[in-house]
Amino acid sequence: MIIRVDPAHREPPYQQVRLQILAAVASSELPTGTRLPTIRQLADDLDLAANTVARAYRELEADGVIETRGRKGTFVGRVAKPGRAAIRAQRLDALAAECVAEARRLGAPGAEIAAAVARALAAPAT
Amino acid sequence: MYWFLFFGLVVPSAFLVLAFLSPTQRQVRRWGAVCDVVVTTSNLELIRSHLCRIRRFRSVAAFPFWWLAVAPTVAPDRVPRVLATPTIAIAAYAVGGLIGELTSKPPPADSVRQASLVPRKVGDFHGGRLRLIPWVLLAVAAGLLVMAPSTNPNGSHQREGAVALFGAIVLCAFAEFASRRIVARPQRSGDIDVLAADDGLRAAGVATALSTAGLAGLMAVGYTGAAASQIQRGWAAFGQGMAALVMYSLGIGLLCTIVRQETWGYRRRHRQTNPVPA
Repeated sequence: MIIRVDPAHREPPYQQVRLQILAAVASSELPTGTRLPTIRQLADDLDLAANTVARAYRELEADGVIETRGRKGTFVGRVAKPGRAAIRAQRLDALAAECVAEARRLGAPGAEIAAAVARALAAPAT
Repeated sequence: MYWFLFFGLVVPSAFLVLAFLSPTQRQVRRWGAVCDVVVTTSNLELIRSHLCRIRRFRSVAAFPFWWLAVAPTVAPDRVPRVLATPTIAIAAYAVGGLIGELTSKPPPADSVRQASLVPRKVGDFHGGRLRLIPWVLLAVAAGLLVMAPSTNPNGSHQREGAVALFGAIVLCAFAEFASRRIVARPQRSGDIDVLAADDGLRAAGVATALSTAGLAGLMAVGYTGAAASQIQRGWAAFGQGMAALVMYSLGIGLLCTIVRQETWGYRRRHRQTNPVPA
């Protein structure tokens, strides 16, 4: 799985890392027990400060999404199916909030936003 | 003088020039086939530039030492026996390649930074427990050196054996350090072809480090074995000859791995999907 971080994005880099790992766990792209790279390795690869990745890992661990097993490394935790659904809902909420905020900045009323979302849903998936 | 000029200067100079001209397109494609990496337009430049860098570093490092091996042909008494050997040039060649690996800079990060979430460990870049072999060879060499005074009390090579063992330990430690650094080097790309090529290049670097350590271990066993064994006759001499033959063959095999920048069986971390060969 490839992780992408855009420093120019509105969300801080640690949040981008956190949300992408969260999404991958929710979609089972990262199944339970998958080993994750070390903080230093991921920080070097993404050219970020180690503290940025450490914060993302810390928050994911606090949410019970990942677990650190001492010197063995960091692994995707045992997230039950309802847990995965909750993670997905959390991610969807974040995406919807982001989308609505952007649409409101454009001055679109609620009905117009809802119609645009419905059109996007009706369009064939790419 | 002819042998000295030809093998001490002309041949090394030719190899040095060739190192700066290689790898050719064909060599890059052969490397890809050996390392199970499909060379595409997106990873061609990465592979070519990295292989080229290592070849230049190792050839430049070895160039000043090749003449030592043939120096006795012009000055038999002036060059100490311990220096009149190709071992020093071969060691410089291997260490030069590792220095090339260690000093290679990671690619600059793109505006949108991308990385793989697959973790990297040294064990991913070589097959099985190959990393232990050089240390086993060093333990055998140390054992032979300890036994030497009792098995060959009149031997005169014990000092050389001790020096060789010390040098081999230093080389093995350096190779171990190098293999860890090669694996830790940042991998900055989201292109699966580039990631696969980068894994192959890392595996080749780790194989070079392991082969260097293996050669050092074999050299130590060779020198300490000479210190520990007396001149034999009959079947014992045959056994000695066979052991020397096996060690030379292994040494040549390891040297070929370094020269050809091959890998020692690594775990494919990234599989290329429908790659289009360049």
